Amino acid sequence: MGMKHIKFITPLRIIAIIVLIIPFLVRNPYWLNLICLLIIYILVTIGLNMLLGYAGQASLGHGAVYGIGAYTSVILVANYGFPFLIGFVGSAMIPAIVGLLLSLIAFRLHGFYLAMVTMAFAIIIERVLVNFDSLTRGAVGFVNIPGASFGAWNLSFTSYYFVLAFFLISGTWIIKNLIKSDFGRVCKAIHFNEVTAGCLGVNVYKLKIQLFVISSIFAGIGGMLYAHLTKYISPDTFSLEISFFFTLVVIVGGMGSFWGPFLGSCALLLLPECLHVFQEFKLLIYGFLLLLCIVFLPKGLISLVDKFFTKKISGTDQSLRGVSTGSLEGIQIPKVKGGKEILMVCDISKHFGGITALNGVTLNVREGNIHGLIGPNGSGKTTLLDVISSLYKPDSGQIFFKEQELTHLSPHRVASLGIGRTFQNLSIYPDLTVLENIMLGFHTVQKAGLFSKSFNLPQQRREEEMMKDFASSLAAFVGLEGNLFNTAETLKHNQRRFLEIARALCLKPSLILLDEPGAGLATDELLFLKKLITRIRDMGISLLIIEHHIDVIVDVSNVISVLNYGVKIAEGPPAEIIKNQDVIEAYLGIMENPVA
Amino acid sequence: MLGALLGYTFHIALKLPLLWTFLVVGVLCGVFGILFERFAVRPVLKSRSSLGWIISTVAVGIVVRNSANYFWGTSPLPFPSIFNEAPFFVKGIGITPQALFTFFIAMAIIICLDVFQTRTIVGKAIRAVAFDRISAELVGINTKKTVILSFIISFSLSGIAGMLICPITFASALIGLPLGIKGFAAVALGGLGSGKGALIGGLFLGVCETLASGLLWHGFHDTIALIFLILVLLIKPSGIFGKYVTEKY
Repeated sequence: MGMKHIKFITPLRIIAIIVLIIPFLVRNPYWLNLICLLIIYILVTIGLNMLLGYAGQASLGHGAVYGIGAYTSVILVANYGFPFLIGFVGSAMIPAIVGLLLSLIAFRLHGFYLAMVTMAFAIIIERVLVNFDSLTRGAVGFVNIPGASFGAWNLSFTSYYFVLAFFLISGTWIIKNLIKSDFGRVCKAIHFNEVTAGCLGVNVYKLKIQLFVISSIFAGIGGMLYAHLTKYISPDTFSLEISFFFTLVVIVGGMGSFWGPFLGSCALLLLPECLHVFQEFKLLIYGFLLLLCIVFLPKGLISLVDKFFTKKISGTDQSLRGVSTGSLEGIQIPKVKGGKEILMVCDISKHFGGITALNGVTLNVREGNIHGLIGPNGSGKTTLLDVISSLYKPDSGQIFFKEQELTHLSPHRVASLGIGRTFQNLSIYPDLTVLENIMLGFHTVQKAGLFSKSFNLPQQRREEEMMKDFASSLAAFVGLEGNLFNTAETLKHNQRRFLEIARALCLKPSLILLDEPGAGLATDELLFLKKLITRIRDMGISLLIIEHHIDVIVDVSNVISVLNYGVKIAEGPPAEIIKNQDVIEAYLGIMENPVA
Repeated sequence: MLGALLGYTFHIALKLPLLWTFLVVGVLCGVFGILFERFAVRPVLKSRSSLGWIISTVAVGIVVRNSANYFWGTSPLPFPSIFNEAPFFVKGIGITPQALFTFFIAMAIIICLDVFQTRTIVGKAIRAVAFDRISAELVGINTKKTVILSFIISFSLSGIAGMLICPITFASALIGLPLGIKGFAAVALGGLGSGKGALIGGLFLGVCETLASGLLWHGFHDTIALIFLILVLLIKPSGIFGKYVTEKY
C-alpha cells in the first residue's frame, strides 16, 4: 500500500486527482475512450479483488454478472423507456440478486469446483442472452443505446466521463473502508484458513455470500457504465473471455493488494494497444507476457512497486499506529462463586471409520475452574475439543454450555456463545499484523454492520478505535506489546502461542479451550504461561486445557481428567491423579504386558 | 487441439501411417506436457497463492492457440476417417464406424489407466503425491518425477483424444477451448482424481447434451449439461465418484 508515509497523500486522493485531471490533459478522443474503459475495468476488478484477492474465492463468472448489469440497464432504458437513474438502480439490484442466488449454490463448493460452477454460470448466462431474443434481441444485441441522461439533460461525453469518475472514486472509497474494517481482516483470515476462522466466530458461508454480492454489485454497475459508454452490447461482449479477463486482471495486478486492480487493468488493457505494431503476433506476445508475469512476479505487478517503497514503509498498516495502551478493565467478568457447571459433556462418542476416537466421554467444567485434560498421544483429547467447538459432529451424546445445546450448532455459533479456543497446530494469520490478528477475535463482539463498515460511519469508527485499544492492551497482557505492528509471520514460536491466547480472549469468552498451549515452550516461558493461565482464571474465565507438561497442568488445574483410547479413565484433583495407578499405566504401560 | 493438428500434419501432410501418427502425436504432446510443467506450472506453484495456475494455463492456451493459428490457419482442416463414412444401423440407430472406434479406444485407454493407477507402484505414487505432496516426498517418492509423469500422461492422452475426434469435428486451432471446458466439466462431474468418474461424467454430459438439443430447446444445446453439472455438485459437492476429504487445519 503505496505512499501512506505522508499523511495528506492518501491513496484515495491520489486516485481522485489523477482521474479528475485526465480529461484536461488527454484530448485525443480515442485515448479518452480507452481511459473510460479503464475506469470501468478498475471498478469491476476492485470488487472482484475483494472476493478473489482478499478472500481467495475463485470466481470465473463475473463477466456474466457484468453482462447482466449492462443488459438490465439497457433493457430498462431502451426497451421500457425508464430514466437512466432507474437503469442504474436496476443494474445494481439485479446483479446483486443474481449474485446472491448463485453464491447460495456455489459456496457449498470449494476451490476447483467453485471455479467450475461459476464458469458454468457464465456460459449459461451467455446462452440465455442469445436465446431470450424477445427481451435481449438475441445474438445481434442492442445498438444505439441511449447515453446517460438526467431528466432533460443529456450528458455529453465529457460529463459522462465525470459520472464514471464519480463511480470510481466512491467505489474505491467503499472498498478502502471495507479493507480497513473488520470485514477486510476476516476476508484475509478465511483465505488463509476457513476452519479456524469459524472458531473465531466468523460465519464463513455468510461472509462469502456477502462478498460475492458486493463484488456482483460492482460488476453490475461496471456493466451498466460500459453499455452507456459504447452504446452497443451483444452476448459476444460478455462471453467467458471477459470473465477470464477480469480474473487475470486481479491476479496479474496482485491479489489482495489495494493497488493490484489498478495496475492490472492498466497493464492488460493498455498492453494490447501498445502491441498493435506487432499485428498478427499481438496475442502471441500477450500470452507470453502473461506467462512471464505469473512466473517471475507470482504476487503480481504490485510486487514490483512494493520493492520500490519497502524502504519507506515497514510493511505495516500505519493507520493502526498510535493506539493507547488501555487497561484490561473491559474484560473483567464478575467472578462467580459456587462453581456451577459451565460446560457439560455428556456421553460423547465419535468414530472415524473403524477408529473410535471418543467412547462415551462425560466431563463437566465448573465455572471459574481450570480443568486439565491429559492423556497419551492419540487418546482423543483434541477430538474432544473439536467436538466441543462443533468442528466435528459427535456420533452420539450431547454437550451443554450454560444450558444451551451445542452439538447441532455450527462452529461460529459456538464461538459467539463465548467459547474461545486455540489450536495445537497454531492458526495465526501470517500476513496480518499482531494487532490485526488479535482484533480478528472481536468479530462476534462487533455491532457495526456491513453498511456501517462500507461507509465508515461513526459507529464503525468508534468501535474500531475501541477494539484497537482493547486489542493492544490484550497484546500487553500476553507480552506482545512490542510487536503490535509486525506481521505475525515475524513472531517467534512462543510469541505465536501467546498471540493465539490473546485472540481467544477477544471473544470476551466465559470459557477458553487451550490445545497444548505449552508445546515447544522453554522453561521460563512455561512459567509465564502458568501465570497467564491463572490470571485468565482470576478474570472469571473458565479454562479447559490440554497439556503434555504434567508439571504445568498439575500446578494450575483444579481438576484433571485423563483420557486413554477415547475413554475417560480418571478424574479428580491433581494430587490424586498423579498417584492414580490407571493413569500411570496408561502413560508408562503395564510392566507385565507393555503393549496392552 | 494440438493433437488434432499434429495428427493432421503427420498423417496427411507427411503421409505417415496412422499407427505411427498416434505414437508420434502421443510423444510430442508428452514432450509439450514436460515443457508445460517445467515452465508454466512448477514456477507458479512455488508461490503461496493457489490461483496462479489459472493464469499460466490461460496464458499457455493463448500462446499455443495463436501459434497454431499462425502455422495452420484458422479454417478447419478435414481429417479423413479410416473407416467407411456411411453409418451402419442397429435397430434403427445410426452409428458411424469412426464413432464406435473412438469409443472403444477411449474405453481401452480408461481401463489401462485405471489398472495403472491402482495396480502399479508408479500409479500409486501419483495418487500419493496428489493426496499429500510432502508426506509422499517423505516416504521416498520422487515427487518431481511423478508430477512430470502425470503431465506426460495427461498431455499424451489429450493429444491422442484430439486426433481421435478430428474426423468428427475437423482439425482446427479453435476446437481446443470448448473441448477443454467440457473436459473440465466432465472431470468435476465425475469427481476429481477418479478415472471411472471422468468417464461416467463425460458420458453423462454427452448424453444430456444430445438429449437436450434433440428434445428440448436447440439454443440451449451446451447449457443443459452445465445446469446438470451445477445440480449434481449441489447434491454431491465432490462429484459423483469423488470422495469428500475433510481438510485438516
